[in-house]
Amino acid sequence: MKLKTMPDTINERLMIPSDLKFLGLVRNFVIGVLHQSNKVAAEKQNKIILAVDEAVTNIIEHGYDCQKTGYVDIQIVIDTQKIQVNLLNNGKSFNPTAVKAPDIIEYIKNKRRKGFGLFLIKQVMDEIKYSINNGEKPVKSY
Amino acid sequence: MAEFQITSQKLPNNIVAVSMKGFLDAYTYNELEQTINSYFNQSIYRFVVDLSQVEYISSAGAGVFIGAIGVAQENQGNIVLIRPQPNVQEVFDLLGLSQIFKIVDNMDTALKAFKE
Repeated sequence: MKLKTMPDTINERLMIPSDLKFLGLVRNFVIGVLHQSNKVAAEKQNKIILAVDEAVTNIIEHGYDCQKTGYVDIQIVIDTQKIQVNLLNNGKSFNPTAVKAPDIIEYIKNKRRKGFGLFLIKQVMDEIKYSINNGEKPVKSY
Repeated sequence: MAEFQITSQKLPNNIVAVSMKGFLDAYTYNELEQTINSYFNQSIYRFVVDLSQVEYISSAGAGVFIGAIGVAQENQGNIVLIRPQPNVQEVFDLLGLSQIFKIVDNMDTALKAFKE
């Protein structure tokens, strides 16, 4: 009997409108791709799901100012060396290196509740790359 | 089924029990924030929050607790969290919240935290 083997590289893509109501769909997409690959340890899966959720949220809230007319194109590539997530969009550009790590105590004192997304992404992913292609399409790679 | 459901109930001693089910993210956090604020508006600042059926939390969800605990503590209240699932606990750990919030295993222990 010939056993079905997993491909060496998985390359999957989901495009959503820039609407936060699709976050659940995004997470389910990530879960599906990670299960399909069968290469990602369970304890890492939540971190990847979290990072993608936070990044897509940032694109919609800050890149598009919550306007629902944009898009986020989510590409996940998994091979034997790495998991790479590309988030293509045409929202406003943004410099992730300019964002400081939040001081939780200060946030509590000032009753601030936003600004943790990029901090979490940096905590759970090995590398973040950010680029602007053709002057109009920022790409985030994790 | 809705992605997120929340119920709340007033208990004796000006304590509110909040219970949630589902996914607490940037799309759903508003319901939790509105619930907590509605009790702040009634001058109620003591909360026990059952997280055992919360399947996922992002920074937007955790941010509601970060924003609310300062208000609660300034008014002699607090927010005690009950039994987060491991992936939810992980987000609290990553944000450094596990040292700030009292996290307990059951309602009895949560209620006792307000007698200390």
